[in-house]
Amino acid sequence: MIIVLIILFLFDIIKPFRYCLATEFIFLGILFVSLHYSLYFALGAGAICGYLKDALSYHCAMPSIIVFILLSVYVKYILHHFQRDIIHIFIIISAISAYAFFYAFSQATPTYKFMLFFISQSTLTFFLISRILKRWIIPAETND
Amino acid sequence: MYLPPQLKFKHIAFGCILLVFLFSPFHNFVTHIAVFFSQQHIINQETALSRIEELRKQNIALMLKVRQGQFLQQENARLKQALRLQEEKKCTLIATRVIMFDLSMWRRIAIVNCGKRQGLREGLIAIDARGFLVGKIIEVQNNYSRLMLIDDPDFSMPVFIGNDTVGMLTGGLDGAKIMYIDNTEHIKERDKIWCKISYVGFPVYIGEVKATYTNRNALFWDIEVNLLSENPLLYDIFIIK
Repeated sequence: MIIVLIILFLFDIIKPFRYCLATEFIFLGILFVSLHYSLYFALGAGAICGYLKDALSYHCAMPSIIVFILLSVYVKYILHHFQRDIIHIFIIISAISAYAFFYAFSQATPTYKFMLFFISQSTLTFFLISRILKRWIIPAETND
Repeated sequence: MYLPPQLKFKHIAFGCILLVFLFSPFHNFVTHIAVFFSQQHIINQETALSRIEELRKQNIALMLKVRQGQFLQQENARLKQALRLQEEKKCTLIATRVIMFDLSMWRRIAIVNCGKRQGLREGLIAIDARGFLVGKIIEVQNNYSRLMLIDDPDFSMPVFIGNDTVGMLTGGLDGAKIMYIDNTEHIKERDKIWCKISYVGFPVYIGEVKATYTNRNALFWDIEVNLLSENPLLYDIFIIK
């Protein structure tokens, strides 16, 4: 999973889809880790990736290290209190929406169209990544 | 009229048995010949298939070379265009290339492969090969610099529309806009947008007016801008020094 996170991190750096695909791969990776791995691993991954993202980014509205740690805690908190499968979808959409709302409204002029693109494209990308990882990565890890 | 005698069944049977006896010693020989020709056919088919596969690979490699050649040709044309621009405008251009992006999708900042060692400093502007504004340098390190693209939400710059109407160009993820232009000004679509840079002796073009909006109570036009610069993420960028 660490290799997957590194690949997602590189995807954000080289942006193979340029600015056509409005999503942050590392954010989706941390969301996936928070949903399917232990709290400590999610917190560690969130802190390291957040630190690296902050180090390589220009000034951001809120440090990613805080955002990713809060994301991990939020996901684990909801999962601790609600056990139903449908809650996963709620967590994914709420986390992506909250992230998009925060960054869209932290700008001088809120960008509604981009925010909607970000929410829709990130959600779809997350489900795609999640499907790939559940099929190939998680079974390989459990076999090892 | 001659008519052949009617053959009886026993004659036919006798003939068949005779044929079998005659050719039975050669049975293996005939089988060997048949197997040999069928093997030849299969071998030929396999050779042909492998040859086709080889040719297909060669074709892909050649197509890639052609595409590479076309790309190099286009790059060469763009560089020549930039050289012409440099000679016409009597300025110094430094060619750079995007090496990395800002990780956040909420910013439009790229990292280019030139820095202090190449003589860059903060505030320099970047153009494409045709001379259209791409962005401005906001941070310079020894070997790299951060370039803020026009559509970054924090980008702002005073610009002219048409001949002498002045406004403020601001970037945005939904597209660049021009603000603070009195709605009594006569602005129409496809008007040229350009800017004057203090250290550059010629106007730098940015784009053209895409659409204009206003309402009765508003004091200013809302102007959407159609940026004319090439995608800076794919092609070389030139910093005006």
